[in-house]
Amino acid sequence: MIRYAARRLVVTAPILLLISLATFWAAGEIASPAAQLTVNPRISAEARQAYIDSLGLEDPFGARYLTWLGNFVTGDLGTSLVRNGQEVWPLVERAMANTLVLVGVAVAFSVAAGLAIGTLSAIRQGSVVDHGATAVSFLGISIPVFWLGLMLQLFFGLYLANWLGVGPPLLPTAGIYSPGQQGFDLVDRARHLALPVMALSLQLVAVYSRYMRASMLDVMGSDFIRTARAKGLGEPSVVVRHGVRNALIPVTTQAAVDVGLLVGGLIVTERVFQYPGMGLLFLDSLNSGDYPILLATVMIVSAAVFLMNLVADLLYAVLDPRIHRV
Amino acid sequence: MSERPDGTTPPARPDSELPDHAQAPEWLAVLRRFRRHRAAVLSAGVLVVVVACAALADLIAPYAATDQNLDRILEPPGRDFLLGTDTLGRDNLSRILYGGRVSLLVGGAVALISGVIGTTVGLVAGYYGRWVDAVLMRATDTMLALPGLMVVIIAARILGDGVWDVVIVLAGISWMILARIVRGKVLALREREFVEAARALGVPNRRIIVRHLLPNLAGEVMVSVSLTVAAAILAESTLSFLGLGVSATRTATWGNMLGGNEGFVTVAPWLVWAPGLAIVVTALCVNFIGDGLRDSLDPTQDHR
Repeated sequence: MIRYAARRLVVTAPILLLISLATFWAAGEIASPAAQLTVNPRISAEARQAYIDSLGLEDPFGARYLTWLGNFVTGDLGTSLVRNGQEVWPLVERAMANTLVLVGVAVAFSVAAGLAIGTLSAIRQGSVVDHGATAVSFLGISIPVFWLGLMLQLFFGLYLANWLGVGPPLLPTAGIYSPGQQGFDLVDRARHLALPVMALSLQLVAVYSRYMRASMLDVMGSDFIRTARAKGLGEPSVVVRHGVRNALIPVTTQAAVDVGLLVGGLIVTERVFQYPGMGLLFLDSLNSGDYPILLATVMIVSAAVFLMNLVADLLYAVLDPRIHRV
Repeated sequence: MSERPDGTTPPARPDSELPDHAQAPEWLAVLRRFRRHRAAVLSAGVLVVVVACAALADLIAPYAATDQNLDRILEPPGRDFLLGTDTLGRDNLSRILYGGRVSLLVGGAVALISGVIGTTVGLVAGYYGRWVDAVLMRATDTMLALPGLMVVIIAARILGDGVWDVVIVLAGISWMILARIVRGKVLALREREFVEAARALGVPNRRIIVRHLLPNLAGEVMVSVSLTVAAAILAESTLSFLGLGVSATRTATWGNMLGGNEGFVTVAPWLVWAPGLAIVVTALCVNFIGDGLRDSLDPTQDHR
């Protein structure tokens, strides 16, 4: 097991390097920092050239990459080109904190709902509950996340308030705090989280519940379940202690592998709800050509997703001892 | 997953009675099982209507997609404009009909191209094995472990905003799961007697792949391709919403209609819910068809 983990880690390092190389190249293609300086007419040609020289922007690609990589791994992410020379790291740090809150709440909710729905549909296969869950999960994978977000904004921000008589919108549709809010306020924060979490969760609940249903059906047909019933265990105990526990094994890995899907939903959700997290920071830097932030967000997110996949692999090996016993 | 090595042979007839290469799904039985899948049949009907509407837009659209009525902008749905008008007084319904062409084309093209890539990679990796397999599968796993939408956004930004730019970008990130499925199936198939017999007879590898392996993969490939159509339509709309899909100045698509009108969600909600519904209905139909296809290709369904 430990040898397996070590081997996977050794294979992972070069791939992460490859990803960083591709990221560095792509970011340069999209937002060349030298080109950014050219746009500003108030910078004279000499000043621009001096700046380019001081930053080594015309050095060969390999040299620039190595400099950046060296700075990156030592925690120096540079300064923003667009946001008045703000340091990148504090910006990224704040965005990451916001994103982790959104992801944490959405995933916790989706896992709980997905597992419950999946289990219920499996043990009541063909029932009304099962058909309803199937319909909802098909909707979940067929609705674009951004459109769901827009519809939620429309419904909670406008329609519901209109129907209930004129009043303030039931739930805020953008940002993380009400205007003028100073400091931390749990209720206000939670209210601002509600719609983004809903938008992000439908797709996840759909996917998790399908996985759980399939896995649960598989497990409930196996011999040890019959044994458990035969030895006189009550049905709840059979379902939960023997069924769910074993059905969770494949679901765990599949859910962990789906973090890529999660990131996609996150970018779109943050954009629709103007939620100041990594996704919004990424899109803003892409549109304003803020090269250092673009590099930092893409690199951090790809590395995180990649490592999650590795964790999923290892988790699978830990949870299911039948694998890699050889 | 299945105890049966290829999961397609009806268990009622033992393998030995069949000519060993006749493992491809029996299409009549598949069709019969598909017809029992009500949601899928209904979806197929709706999808035919959607495709026909887009294809016949020239005939049925009340206006041209680009006709502007600047004195009647942002008009709510009414008699003249069944689904209202947009900021330039263009007919929303007509634009949805024409926009469907691009969205469906992108969905279909991405599915076909990624289907070809995925099948080829899976076949080559599974059949040749050894280092070819190791290299291809390592690459596949790596691509699977990337944040898909982020990669798509960056690639779309680098490539451009034409229809085929978007198709290439989306196809490039959609083939990996099929490649893994195909590889797994080929690993099982290549140990079978009919493949060994062909090899013993000196049949060239390429012919074994095309004549003996490919037909047996038809089911898996079809299911995956149909599900990719839905995913690609959603991805195209997401890219367009972010301003990175097919350019709205070139042609209307369901996605860029939404992206361009997001700011009018409270003023003219029909500009947001109507194209969105077109996307959802289409994706829902394709997903149901894919699901029905998967069930129909699984012979154990006969014994339920």
